[in-house]
Amino acid sequence: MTAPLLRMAGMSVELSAGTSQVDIVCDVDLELDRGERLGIVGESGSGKSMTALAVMGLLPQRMRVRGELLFDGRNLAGLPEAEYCSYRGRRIAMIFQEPMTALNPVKSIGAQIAEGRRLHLGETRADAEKRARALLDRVGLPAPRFNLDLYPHQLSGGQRQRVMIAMAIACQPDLLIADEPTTALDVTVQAQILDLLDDLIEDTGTALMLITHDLGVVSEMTERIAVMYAGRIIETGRTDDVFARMAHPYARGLFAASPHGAALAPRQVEGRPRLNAIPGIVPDPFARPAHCSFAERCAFVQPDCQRAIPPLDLIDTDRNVEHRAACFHPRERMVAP
Amino acid sequence: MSDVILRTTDLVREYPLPRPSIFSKQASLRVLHGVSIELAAGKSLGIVGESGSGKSTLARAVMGLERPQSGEVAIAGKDIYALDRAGLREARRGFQAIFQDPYGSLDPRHTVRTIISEPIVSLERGTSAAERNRRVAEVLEAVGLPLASADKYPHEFSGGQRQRIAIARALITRPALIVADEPVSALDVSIQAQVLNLMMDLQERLGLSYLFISHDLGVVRAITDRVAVMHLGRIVEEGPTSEVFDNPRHPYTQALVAAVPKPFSGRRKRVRSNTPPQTPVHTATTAAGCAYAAVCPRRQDLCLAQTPEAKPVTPTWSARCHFA
Repeated sequence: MTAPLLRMAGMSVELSAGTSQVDIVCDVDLELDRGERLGIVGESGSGKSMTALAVMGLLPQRMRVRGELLFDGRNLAGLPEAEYCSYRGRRIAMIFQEPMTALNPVKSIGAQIAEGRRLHLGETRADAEKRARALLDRVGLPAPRFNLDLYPHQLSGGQRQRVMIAMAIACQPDLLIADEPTTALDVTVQAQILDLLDDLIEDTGTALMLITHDLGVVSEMTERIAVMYAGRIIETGRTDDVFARMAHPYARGLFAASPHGAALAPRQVEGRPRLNAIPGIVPDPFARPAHCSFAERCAFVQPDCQRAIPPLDLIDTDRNVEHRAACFHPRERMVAP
Repeated sequence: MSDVILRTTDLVREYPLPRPSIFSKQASLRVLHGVSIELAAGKSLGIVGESGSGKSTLARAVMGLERPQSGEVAIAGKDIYALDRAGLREARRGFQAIFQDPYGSLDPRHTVRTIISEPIVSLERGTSAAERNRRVAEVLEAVGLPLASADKYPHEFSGGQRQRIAIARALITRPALIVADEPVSALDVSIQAQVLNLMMDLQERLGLSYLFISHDLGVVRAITDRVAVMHLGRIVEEGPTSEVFDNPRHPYTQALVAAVPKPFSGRRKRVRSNTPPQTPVHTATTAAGCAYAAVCPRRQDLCLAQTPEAKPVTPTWSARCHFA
């Protein structure tokens, strides 16, 4: 078997603040192969975006990667910036959440899309711009309405996100990371952008790492997911398996708390049904407990949960994909909704 | 049913557009095209729509922050734009707002006590300091924050706690109506559920009415009795929330409901339309025809010729479509 395209093994992202150090992302094991679609789900502070930035080599200062982060057989952790540049944008590309801030306001969209090809593939301006034109057509921004000399401020949010996608796929990357690509968009525009991403992945065979907090988006877009909480993966497996079982109480709680879950909950006879909120808040990264970090909020907590951090144990295997959950007392299959 | 806490009648709000030259006629953009809503006391009405649909403008008009060009906003039977300053000050005690961004809507240099008591300071002059502190303690308790929070600053709180502070500030004048403009969209799912539950508890305890603006259909479904769907400044469908979302009649509502990604739906299997996506635009004029016709899959000649009126689907449910 050949090595997977992306492999994280015991990867942590370490933040140094003054004299203390803290792991923002802890001990992540993930693999992603060409043509696969992986979703990473979690709330703010779960470390999902930091995992993405670690792969892109774009971590903020004072943060560094520990452990293994192999891309196509090469360890990217600690790679010098000059060498990283030959990966970033060329073989690994990223779509950011905010198309308003991620695009350069003083450069035309044509120049921004062509930049990658000129830089990485050494194309001439004319060739790169011809290619940029084709890319804009591909993402649904046809000429003459959407010429290369437009500036980001002349476009709507959805159109800007299309430009972002054109930039990201310009050099035909092997891995596409999308960090909340549709969070800032209206639902109907979101549906268009997801359709576009879906088509592109199908056509090009690029691997997709989709980061989102929306359980609906992840369910429609991915084959495998990893649910993160307080810097760790707490449940991972095939998307349909994870949704069907939700072995970790946090995964279950997250679903029950979302209004999607409320629609499925049995209606009470009297009054408006309440949402199943998860009590408490996510622990501060500087004060994460030495036991299960969800124990304080968990409805199924047992004495041993307060003693050690549960490992990401195998609970099932379906079509060669392992279903793992970091819980001492994984839940059994949910009652089908 | 006489207890209508909020009624707007044919609200029209226009913004002047920049003139291309000083000789050209002043053009304007009509953001609200005669919006009429009604909210019964103790109930909640959701306003959903996409960005640019005018839902926040409607909220601002209801709050007395944007005078409409025509139409009326009546809160507890009083037209708030017809009141004088003193009368408006008196009326404002009856309606308060919660805003979207719990980071931007609290002054970072004020203590929570100052923030929460500000509505009484400005609307109920002459309230003693002891009385103010008593009321602050009362609302902090109501929103589930410890009393010690009163002397802290906003930066010491998480997003969900800040939104609780914003709710406490809205409650302190003991209003009957709360206008909440995207109150939970900046919060994480698990915290969002806590805040929504709190709002439902308070509604039952205090008999509050909510005008609840959101783009998130799931959230609106969870907290509202009735919903009005806005599209380009018009209400295109209005009715009981669960009925409208389960069986939408207007093509725009149908598109909106269908576009929400749902868990358990498996991989995307969407019927792709061949027409390129179009963004409908606001029109300054009140030209004839349905504003949704440009993108509507059920368009007929009639849609372009005649603006549809709101037609009843059931006595409590109406849709603004010729073919609903």
